[in-house]
Amino acid sequence: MSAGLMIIEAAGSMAIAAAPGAEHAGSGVEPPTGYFGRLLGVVIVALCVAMGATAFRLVKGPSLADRVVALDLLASFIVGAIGVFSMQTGRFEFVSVAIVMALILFVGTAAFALYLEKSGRRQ
Amino acid sequence: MIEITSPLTLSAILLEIRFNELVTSALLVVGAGFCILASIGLARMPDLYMRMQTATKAGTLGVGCVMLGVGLHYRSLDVLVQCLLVVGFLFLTAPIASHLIARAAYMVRIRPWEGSSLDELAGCYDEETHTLVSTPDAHRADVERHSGRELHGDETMFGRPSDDGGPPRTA
Repeated sequence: MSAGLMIIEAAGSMAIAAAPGAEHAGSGVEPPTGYFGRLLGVVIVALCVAMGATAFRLVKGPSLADRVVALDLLASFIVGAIGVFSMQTGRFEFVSVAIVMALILFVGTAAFALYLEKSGRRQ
Repeated sequence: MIEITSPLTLSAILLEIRFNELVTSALLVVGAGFCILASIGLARMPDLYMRMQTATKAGTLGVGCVMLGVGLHYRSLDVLVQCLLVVGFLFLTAPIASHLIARAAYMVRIRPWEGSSLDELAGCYDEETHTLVSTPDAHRADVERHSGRELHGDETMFGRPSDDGGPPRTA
């Protein structure tokens, strides 16, 4: 119910934005300030901490498969960080970058897994 | 009619915070929390298979929540659809990628944690072709018929438990 309302509202605001004479210097919206801007900073810091713990496993990982898992998780954290960064700057083009990142993530992981299986490196 | 007596009353705060920002904030906080949990699990879990399940489940949920929050933030159907694409793609591909890694790791015999008690895939994989046969019993009967030697029934991909110095299993 509320999601439907939200979509309708979003479509309405999009129509307003597409109308001629709409005041937009670039694309996107104003960078958020106030509590929401601070929250975005906190979320970025949290994602960086998560990336740090993942990088620890990437460096330390005893086997190649551990490193592949860590790289996979790191890439998906980067997808989330790109999204939060796009909110911080108010430019929604970065969401497309996140799409590309998500695509590359899967292909890379699948390639690593196939290489691991075909090479048959025993521990 | 809401009467605002002080600028710091709850109603003033609720009037100032827009509903959309509230939903986005909640999604971002939940998503960041799950991302942290996933990374802690990845760093602290004892073996590859546990690390993989915590990274895949919690990580996908966390990043999915964050991207959903991004989609709702802009109030634009365009961006919302793009973010839903990202979320859908992550939810589709993360289990597949995780399965591929787990299968490859099992094939190259990365050992599970010594505290794990169950290996349901033991004897189910043909080591030459990397294909799955139906059940351990059927596979055992097949191997016995072809090789002519008797198997003990407690073999795993990693050898028999009694060979490792562990307690021998008696029937």
